[in-house]
Amino acid sequence: MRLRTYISIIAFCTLTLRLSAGEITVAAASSLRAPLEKIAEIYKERFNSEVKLVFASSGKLASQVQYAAPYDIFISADMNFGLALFEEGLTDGGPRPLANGYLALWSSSPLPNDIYPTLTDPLFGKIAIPNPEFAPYGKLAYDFLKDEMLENRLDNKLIIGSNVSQVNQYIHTDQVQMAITSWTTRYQLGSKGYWKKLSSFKLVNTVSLLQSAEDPGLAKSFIAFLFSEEAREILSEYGLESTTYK
Amino acid sequence: MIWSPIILSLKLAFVTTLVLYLIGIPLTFVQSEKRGWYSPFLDALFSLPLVLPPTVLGFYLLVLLSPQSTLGQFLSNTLGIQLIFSFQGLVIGSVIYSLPFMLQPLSNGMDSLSPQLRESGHLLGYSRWQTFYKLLLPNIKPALLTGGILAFAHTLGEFGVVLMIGGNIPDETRVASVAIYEEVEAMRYSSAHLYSAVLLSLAFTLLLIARFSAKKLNRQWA
Repeated sequence: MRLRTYISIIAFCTLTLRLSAGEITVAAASSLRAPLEKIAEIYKERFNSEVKLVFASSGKLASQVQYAAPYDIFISADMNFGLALFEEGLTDGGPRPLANGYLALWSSSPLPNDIYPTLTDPLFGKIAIPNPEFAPYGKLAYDFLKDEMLENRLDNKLIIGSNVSQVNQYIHTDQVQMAITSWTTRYQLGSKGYWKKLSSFKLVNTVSLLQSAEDPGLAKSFIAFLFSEEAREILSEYGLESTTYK
Repeated sequence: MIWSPIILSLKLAFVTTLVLYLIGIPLTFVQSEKRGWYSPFLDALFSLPLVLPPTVLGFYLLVLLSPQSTLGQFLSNTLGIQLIFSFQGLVIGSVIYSLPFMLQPLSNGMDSLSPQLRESGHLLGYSRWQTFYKLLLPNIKPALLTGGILAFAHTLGEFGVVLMIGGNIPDETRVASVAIYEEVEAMRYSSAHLYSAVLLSLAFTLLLIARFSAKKLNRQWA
């Protein structure tokens, strides 16, 4: 008899409080954390709907979607991960361009125009970039390093953050002397250090509706809000240019 | 909302400990009463999570339960449940990972019992299981308590397995240890401090309770 009691207690405890009514889960690239948290707050208050945000590098989220993660919407920092998921039939329609993001160079002290000698100087501290494999900004950062012919010359100075947020955290806590991150970070940590926008390194942030969405109607209404004037204004507050597509 | 990671951690630890009692007691019986040539291998197997990096366990569970695996497909198509990215999956991961923390105190407790107890059981005509359940188990109450508390505290602190198979989903798999990591990444250090302080005090209090009650029970039963 005690066994039955135990099992019923366990069964009760494992009942996850899944309030499926009026709830969507958005998996978004870490680089969009600041603007998306604001946008979601407004949406939650106005439409009295629960919006859960999960932030990680776009690649990690994409692979979670392949593992049937319970996400409704996938917002990627680039086009590629969204396309890959579309080709696997995991999204409802292709990735929709939301805004353009740019790469940014941050340093704790001003850098000269020719950064090669400075960065390869053994006395120069650590340099952080997001993971080139999973974070689109990381891949761009690595491309930038290749352009400067630095990709093999940094030895053990290169710190690979798992995503943009982690790199930002390194900047914020002075753990690195230089970092390559998203230009949106400049609007969160602007007062710190020196920022340079690398305009030739651009990413198209995209939105995908996932097939795993529990309530596609609800998800679509949030996506519509993402493309609204109000949301676009918030995005541009963080240096993200609206795309001309709708 | 802000307390939801703590509540999730407590829920996970509570459920895991319950399950571990249900599994651990029969396993202790097998370990202590049914010794054979296979025993050293079983002992090593059950102690594996102690030394195994959590990511190894997380990885194997992912492979085993993923929607592409045979087991994963059976679970989702036939039973309609998905274990990856769910609380139930976390329970499974935690049970495996905290198993030695329940088993070791229990088997140490069994080792410390005098053989006369077993002999009394035999004299009373009890089967091996009856002897175990009616005579031996009640005499290792301190070990039972220690096992439960250690399993509970260990599950509270779990990170690697939880992150790999849970996915950091708010209110579902974002337990306190993962939430701290998230808050630090988001540069919300006050929340990180809050969760860390709560976990630290909880763990410390539990260990204190374990120490004092085990000692007290020992005096009663010695």
